[in-house]
Amino acid sequence: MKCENAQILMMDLIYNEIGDREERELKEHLSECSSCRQDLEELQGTRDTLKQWPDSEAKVTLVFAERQTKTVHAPRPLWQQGLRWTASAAAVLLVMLSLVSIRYSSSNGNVQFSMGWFSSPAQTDNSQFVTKEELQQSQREQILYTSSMIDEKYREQSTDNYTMINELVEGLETQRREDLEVILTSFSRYQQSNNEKIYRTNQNFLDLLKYTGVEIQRGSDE
Amino acid sequence: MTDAQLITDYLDGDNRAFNTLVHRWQPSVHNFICRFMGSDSDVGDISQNVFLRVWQNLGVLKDRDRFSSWIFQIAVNQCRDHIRSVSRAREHFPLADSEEPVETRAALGGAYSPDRADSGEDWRRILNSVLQTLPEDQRLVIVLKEYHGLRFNEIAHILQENENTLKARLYSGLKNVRRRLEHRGIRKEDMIHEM
Repeated sequence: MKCENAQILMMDLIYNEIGDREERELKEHLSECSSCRQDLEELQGTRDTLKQWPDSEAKVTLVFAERQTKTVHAPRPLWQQGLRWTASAAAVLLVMLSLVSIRYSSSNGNVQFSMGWFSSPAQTDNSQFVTKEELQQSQREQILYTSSMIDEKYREQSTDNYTMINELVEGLETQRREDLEVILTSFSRYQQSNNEKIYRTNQNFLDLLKYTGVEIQRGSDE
Repeated sequence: MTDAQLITDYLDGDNRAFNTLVHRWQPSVHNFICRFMGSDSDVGDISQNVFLRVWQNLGVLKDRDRFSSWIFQIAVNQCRDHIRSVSRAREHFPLADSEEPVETRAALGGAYSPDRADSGEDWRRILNSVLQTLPEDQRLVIVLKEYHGLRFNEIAHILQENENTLKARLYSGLKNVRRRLEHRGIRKEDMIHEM
């Protein structure tokens, strides 16, 4: 056997993983090779030294914690969300419309509408425009209309909210009733099982008394 | 309860089974990382990553009876990734002399006198500095074999290498450990095995 092969087998030997045949071959080689003999002794010594390194304890103990999420209620349906945004957008648009001044003009059969944030002070021909009173009247009507629209949307929104809260409360109530039923059923089963056990214990006790010859008088007042 | 049973319980929804598995394996993983990496500073992070990988991949572990090999395989990979990331960082941001870890300075520096190697703590410091001067692959096989008692076929499975290659590497590693200990003034008679 070559020393190179012996070195491989020495690893098997010092870690107790060597087969019988290999051990015999290795020992045969060791009996003839003083260099490998010394090698083996030193390897064992090195192993002993390495064992002096003690284990250390982890400073932190790891604990696995799965993050849990609780759903309080289901998200609003998309159509409800859409309605909410549409109502808000309509209200904003109407408020803006109530603030702008609308100009109407007609000349030679051509009708023109124009609008701006503020009425223009430089109007060349007043006869082509509505009067100031008419304009104020129109703005009042627009404001009234806008207010009524806002009120209507507010009512719709309130109704939606009320319905949603009702559904939620109803759902919670149903869940509570179901839970109570489960508890009641479990409790009844537990009670029944307990009664059966008490009855069996009673019977056993009576049998034992009968067996030992002790008589028992039922009801001391009888 | 065996590891395989705990894995089955956890996959069936029992979170406590996974905690038992962590509690059982954390000391081994911790000590493996300490000895292989040679520094306490990053052990907690690497250990946490090992168990994170275990948790993420437990469902795809095919042979649940070989959990021990599997977890060491993950630990080895995590340590190697860490070494790579640290060496990449040092390429760009080299440490100043004063910031160099104490263990590294000790490993490069002078010898320890044998009378200082009385306690386990002394041995830990000496052996740690010796192992850190070994090539990574020799250190790895010494730690897995000597301190975790894995069989050669298990180490071969973990490192995906031939058994005889590993034995030859272990032989060279042990010889190197001895030479370095002698260089540090550890007396031969302290290391001679009582036959």
